[in-house]
Formats: sequence, structure tokens, C-alpha cells
Amino acid sequence: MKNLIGITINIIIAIFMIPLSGCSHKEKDYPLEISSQLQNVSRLELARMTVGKVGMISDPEYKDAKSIEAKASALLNRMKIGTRLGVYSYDTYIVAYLDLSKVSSEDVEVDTETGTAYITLPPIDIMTDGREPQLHEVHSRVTGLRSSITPSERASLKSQMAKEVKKEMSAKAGATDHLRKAAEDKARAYLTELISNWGYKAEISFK
Amino acid sequence: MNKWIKIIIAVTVIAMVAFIAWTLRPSAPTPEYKTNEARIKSITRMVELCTSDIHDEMAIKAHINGKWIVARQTVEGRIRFDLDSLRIEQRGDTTLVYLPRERVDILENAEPGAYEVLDAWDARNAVFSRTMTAAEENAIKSKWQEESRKRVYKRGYVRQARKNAIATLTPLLNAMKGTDDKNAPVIIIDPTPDPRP
Repeated sequence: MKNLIGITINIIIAIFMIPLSGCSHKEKDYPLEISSQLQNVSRLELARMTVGKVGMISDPEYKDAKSIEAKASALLNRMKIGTRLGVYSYDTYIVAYLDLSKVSSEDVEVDTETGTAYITLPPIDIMTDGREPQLHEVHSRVTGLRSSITPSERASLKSQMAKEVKKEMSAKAGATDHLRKAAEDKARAYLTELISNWGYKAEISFK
Repeated sequence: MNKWIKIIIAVTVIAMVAFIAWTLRPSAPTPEYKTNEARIKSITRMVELCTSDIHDEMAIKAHINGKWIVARQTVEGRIRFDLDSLRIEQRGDTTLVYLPRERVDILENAEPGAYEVLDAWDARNAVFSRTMTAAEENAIKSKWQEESRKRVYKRGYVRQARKNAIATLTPLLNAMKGTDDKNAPVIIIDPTPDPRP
């Protein structure tokens, strides 16, 4: 009987050790570049808008379920022990700039007699600069026998948040107008000060 | 005991055991994603000349605390010069402008599919495996960012960006000064033509 118990314990330990033994070798991190593109640009960036977005991951709730399948899933989920909730945020950056490649020699004229520099600038352009790589955990509560929130779930949430940021910002025309105005004001102030180094006063206009 | 009573008891016991086992099983049903409306946090004014855009597609395998991740990421790199901190000197009629130190920004592309997790696992515990936390994933991403920044220098992109900045600013500033036969030029000086991270 003792032998039987000993053999059983050894078999259980062996079963648990097999998957672990495969991980004992040391692997190294590697970043593998699939493609890389370098582009020469000449942007005079004048204003940056920081847009924040908050998103939440949770298990499905009955009141939010739309299909019968989702309602059934939410109902069964309610019977399970614990809570599963994660709230995350990240920032997206939008930039207002002047494309200096659009400025030609005819757009800058200096009248030395009156001491005035006339500068005609191209219209302010707007572009999305990028977003924070990090997803900040605002709050997390995983209790009972619920699974932890996985990196794949966080990546899916971020993807959905990015889709919405894009949609919401294109609908907020007022926000980009405000950014454009801030960029124009900054361009005027900066160039006026720069040109004053040479004793001129500046007359700045936009196309 | 009646045969049917025995069957009912057996079925009830099996159903109860199945229910308890299902309840105790760690759950990971299809999660629900909810989001708040995007909020404008700030608008900052600055004068920065950006002369290089870098667009990289990366596949990354990295680990922290025995937890591994394999992911694909689209990275946007920018090389910028803060023109608000331009040092300008007058030497006689000639204007000397010193190009400031560059700033290399590494961000994630803002498109929805720019970051995708292909695999994540715990190499230390195959049985009771731990999940990579958001803080651990962020630490890995910060390391990737730093490595991307170093790679931008190593490839000579920053050297090229500094040359581009001089090529952009020289005609612009000379036009603004009204440089001609009588008026001395604006000369841009690069104090660090061979930049390091």
C-alpha cells in the first residue's frame, strides 16, 4: 500500500515537472524589425493637443447584453464567484504645423526702406503624431476565482479606444479649430520676435 | 429503495458536482469593453522643427519576472529641434545661429491595430501560471522605446536630421533677414554634428 502511495506521488510530481523542465533554458529578448521607413520632412510644429481616453474591461453584464446568447452568457457569468474589472487610460497627441516645404522665396519679402518683412505662410495642417505606448492602469479589481486581465485583452481594448478617438476627434471640429488658432498665434509671435533681431517689424499672413 | 429514486438522486448529485466544478473554474468569458468619450487634456504651444519621420514595424519577444510576451507594434519616431531655444549671435553684420540638441520621440502609431499581442505565457509556472500585469507590460514597452531611440542614433538618422535642419533653416532665415549683396548672411552652426544618445 505504501509503495502504491509513493508511486502515485512520484507520478504526480513528474507530471507537474515535465512542462517546467522545458522552460529552464535561458532565452533572450529580441526586437525584430519587419520594416523601417525614414522620411525627410520639414514641419514647423506650433501646437500640440493631448487627448486622453479611458476604457474599461469587465465580464459581460446582463443589462448590457443585446443578443440572447450574450444574455445567457451574462446570466451564467453572474453565478461565478468574484469580480473582474480593469480601468485603463492612455494619451494621443495631435500636432498643428506649418509645412515649410510649401514656403517659397516669393512668400518672404523684406522692404529695407520701411524696415518691414512681409511673410505669407501656408495654412496650418493637422496630423496625429502618435499615442503613448503604455496603457496606464487606473483601477483593477480581480477577486474570487476570476482570471486576471491578459495583455491580449488590454491590446484589444486599446485598439477599440483608438478607433473611437479617431472618430470622436474628427467629429469635434471645434477642437481642431482651437488647435489651429493656437498654432497661428504662436507662429505670429515667434516670427515677429525672430525678425526683430534684424531690426524689422513683421507683417505675417496665412494663405 | 425504489430504482427511480436512486436514478433521481444520482442525476441530482452529478448535476450539483458539475455546477460546483463550473462555478469554481477560473473564468475568462468574452470580456466587455466600455469607453468614455475622449477628453482634451491640454493644448501646448511650441516651436519645434521636425525634419525626420521614422515608421517602423516591429515584432518583439521580451520577458519580465519570468513572464514572456510576443507582440507586433507599429512605431512612429520623430526627430525634433526646439527652435524656442535657438541661440542667436550677431558678429558684425553676420548672424550666427546654433542648432540646438535634437529630441528623439518614439511613440506608438495611433491607428487601431498598431499593437497586437501574439502570445503571452509564464515560463516559471506552467501549472499555476501568472498573467503579465499592466505595469510589467509597460516596463517592457519603456525598454523597447529606449532601444528604438538608440537604434535611431546608431543608424545615422539623427546625423541626417541635423543636416536636414540646417538645409531647411538656412534659406528660410536668410530670406527673413533679407540677405543680399549688402546684407550679411545668416549662418547656421551645428555644435554637435556627430550626436550620441
